[in-house]
Amino acid sequence: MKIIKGWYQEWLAQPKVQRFRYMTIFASCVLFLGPLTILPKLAGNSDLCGRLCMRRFYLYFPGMTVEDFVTHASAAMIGVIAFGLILLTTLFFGRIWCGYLCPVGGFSELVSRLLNDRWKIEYRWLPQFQIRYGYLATYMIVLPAIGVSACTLCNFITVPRLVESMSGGAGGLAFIFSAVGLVNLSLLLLLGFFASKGRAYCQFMCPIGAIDGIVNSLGSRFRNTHRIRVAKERCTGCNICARNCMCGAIKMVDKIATVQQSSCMDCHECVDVCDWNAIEWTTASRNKTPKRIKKGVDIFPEPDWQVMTFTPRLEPTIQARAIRWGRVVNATLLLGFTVAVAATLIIR
Amino acid sequence: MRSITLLLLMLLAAFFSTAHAEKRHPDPDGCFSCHGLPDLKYVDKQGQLRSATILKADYYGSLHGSVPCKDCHRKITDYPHEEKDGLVDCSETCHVKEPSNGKAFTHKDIAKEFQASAHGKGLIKDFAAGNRIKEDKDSALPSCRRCHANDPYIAPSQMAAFKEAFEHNDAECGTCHAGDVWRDQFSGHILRRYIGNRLNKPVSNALCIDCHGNTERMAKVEQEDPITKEKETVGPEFIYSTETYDKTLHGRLISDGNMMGASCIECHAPTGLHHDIRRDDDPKASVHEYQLATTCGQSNCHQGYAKNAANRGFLKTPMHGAATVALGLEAKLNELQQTKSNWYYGAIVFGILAVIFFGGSVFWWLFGDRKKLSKNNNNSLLGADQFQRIIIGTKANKARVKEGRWEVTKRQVSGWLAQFGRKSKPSAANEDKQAPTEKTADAHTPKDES
Ligand code: SF4
Ligand code: SF4
Ligand code: SF4
Repeated sequence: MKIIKGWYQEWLAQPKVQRFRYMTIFASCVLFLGPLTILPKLAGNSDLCGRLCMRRFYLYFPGMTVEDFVTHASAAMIGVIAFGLILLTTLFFGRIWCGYLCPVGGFSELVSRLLNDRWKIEYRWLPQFQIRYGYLATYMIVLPAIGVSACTLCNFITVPRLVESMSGGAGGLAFIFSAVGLVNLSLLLLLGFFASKGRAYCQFMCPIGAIDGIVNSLGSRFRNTHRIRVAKERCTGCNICARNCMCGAIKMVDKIATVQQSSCMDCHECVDVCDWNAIEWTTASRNKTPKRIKKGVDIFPEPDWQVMTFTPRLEPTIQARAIRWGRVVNATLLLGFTVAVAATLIIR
Repeated sequence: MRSITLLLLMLLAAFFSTAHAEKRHPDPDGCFSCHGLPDLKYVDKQGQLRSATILKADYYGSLHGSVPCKDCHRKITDYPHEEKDGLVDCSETCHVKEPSNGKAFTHKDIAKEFQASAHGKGLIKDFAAGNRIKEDKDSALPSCRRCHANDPYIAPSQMAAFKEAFEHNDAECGTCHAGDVWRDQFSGHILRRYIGNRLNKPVSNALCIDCHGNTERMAKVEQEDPITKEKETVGPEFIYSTETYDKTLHGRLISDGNMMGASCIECHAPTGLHHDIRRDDDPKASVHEYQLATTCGQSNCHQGYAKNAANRGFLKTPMHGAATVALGLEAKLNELQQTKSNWYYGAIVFGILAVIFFGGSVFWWLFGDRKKLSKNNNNSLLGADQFQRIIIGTKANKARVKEGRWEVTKRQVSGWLAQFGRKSKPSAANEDKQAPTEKTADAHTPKDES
């Protein structure tokens, strides 16, 4: 009883927007996953693969022609349309799909949030940008060319099957216990359930998230798009937003919160926890009346919302310890990518 | 089924009205005088009671409806005849004339191709009709009729389309071909071709799955090595070939009703008369590694890039990889579930996960050392310090953080690399920092760190 009451208190202690967000994710899990799969069934599917797949049609095969691309895209037409819609909403409002709707990333986030923090592995400090786009390049260029199926490391196949198998579904159970299924399950456990805030797979390996992140980042340059923006002059450097950000998108640079737009999912949690009204999901151009003023609490100065991304701190001289391992990773992956493209062009 | 056949018969009756009635070869040898009797039965050598009745409607509506009985059943000269005299050799010629060259029609080319294929090895009953029950039970290799069961000439699913096309025969085709005798003879045939393949991808796959989907039966198959001619047992890729195919995008699309997927024969017998299915280590096989570029690169498939040399790996993508299925588990579970709902099979396995999650959380909540927790610290098992240092930007507490083996190595490597880069102007201060002994590193980190 006490435990349940404690859980309920904990639930109420969550910010209102976050409670709403958890509920939308839960609802979309019910709609997309498991024994019901209501939405996929409308398209005649039992899971998120096949015609609904959003991860396959942009794979690049050396020597591929435009017709090939059209063939690939038309085989997964519903996925292509869904992906287009996701990118469109992202352009104007930020990554609403990833933060509020995606049943796959959302499921592992919810499970991870149920677990005690002391179980978890912290991934958010890793060089996200480098790993994410390095892996995206590997996924799109190298894996197809060496003949590794895109489904081998895919959580869009795993999570629906896992949820299905919890209801005793034979297909799901059989997949989970196949070799590919077990690899995927361990990925889901390590980068999902046991990752701090449960979004490590999204941050490192999801190609949808990576491409969505590019759009999010590009869109943030327009003044009238909704993004998580920081009012630099208001930020006190209390860093509560950085600690709560599930994506590790906020980093304290010179004691001011900066948001890396390619990682941010616009989940709004940072806005909910900031006591200083210094971070907001808003457009940059209009100088809106801050919500605190609406509530009758004056806060000055008026914020000048700006999008900030991580900027590397300048090092005065090269020092022995100044080797940036993130950059080494980045360079290695980029080199691999370049070599792959070059090989494509040379060997015909 | 029956009503469709009757429909077909009515249609044909209308088509071959009076003037063309003789085109149907109405039983010149009088076979129907016995086999047309409704209850003709006999007991065969296995002691099985079998029907010998031939339904006229079914026969005339079938693919061979215009071939007289004796064209195929050649050994029968009088009646009553022996059962074994009913044998049929599909590679023989028959009295139907090929209209293009006037020669007698024959399946010889297909028979040749088939006999050279994996299915044609050994005896395929010399393309003869033997005991069907025996074939179903004992034979590992299919005869012609295992797949081609003398089906209706117009597939039931195509009946509506055919009727519509046929209604236009006189008006549309007749505008140009008025008075052409062959139009009356062949327009049905041409229109049947015109409405599309009789076997679409799901139907032709079903023919393969009919045998290959039976994993118990496939496990018993012995293959012959194409070079050494030795008998070999088959591996899981062969036994579970249909299960693994279902997991690929090829099979997935077709079962979703999307015809962009590749069917079995589109890869295994893409050329010729589509009967040349061979083992993948046979150099003549379309799925042999040297042929794959051509096979995968067929038009409308992976045409642009399968032949590209940089894509050799793509051709190695496992299409029947056993890694995608838990061998036979799905079939077994499905079998169990047919009798009753076994939701708890899943619950047992994932209940364990749930117990770990919730039990563990409650454990931490009740017995965890609260003093070690702090609102400002990240409590993760791994990586909490790095998070604090890199994201939050707090300086690591140097006095407490002991430099581990990995840090020491990393620093040494960095030192060497940096030294390598600036060989020309080494300074005394840097020299000190770059090569600290392990001992000093363990005791306290260098001062100029902070
Ligand atoms: S990054 Fe990928 S898995 Fe994560 S929420 Fe977005 S679409 Fe879903
Ligand atoms: S919570 Fe608000 S004040 Fe605190 S660091 Fe973040 S943006 Fe700045
Ligand atoms: S920056 Fe804010 S909105 Fe973006 S992911 Fe982090 S907490 Fe969510």
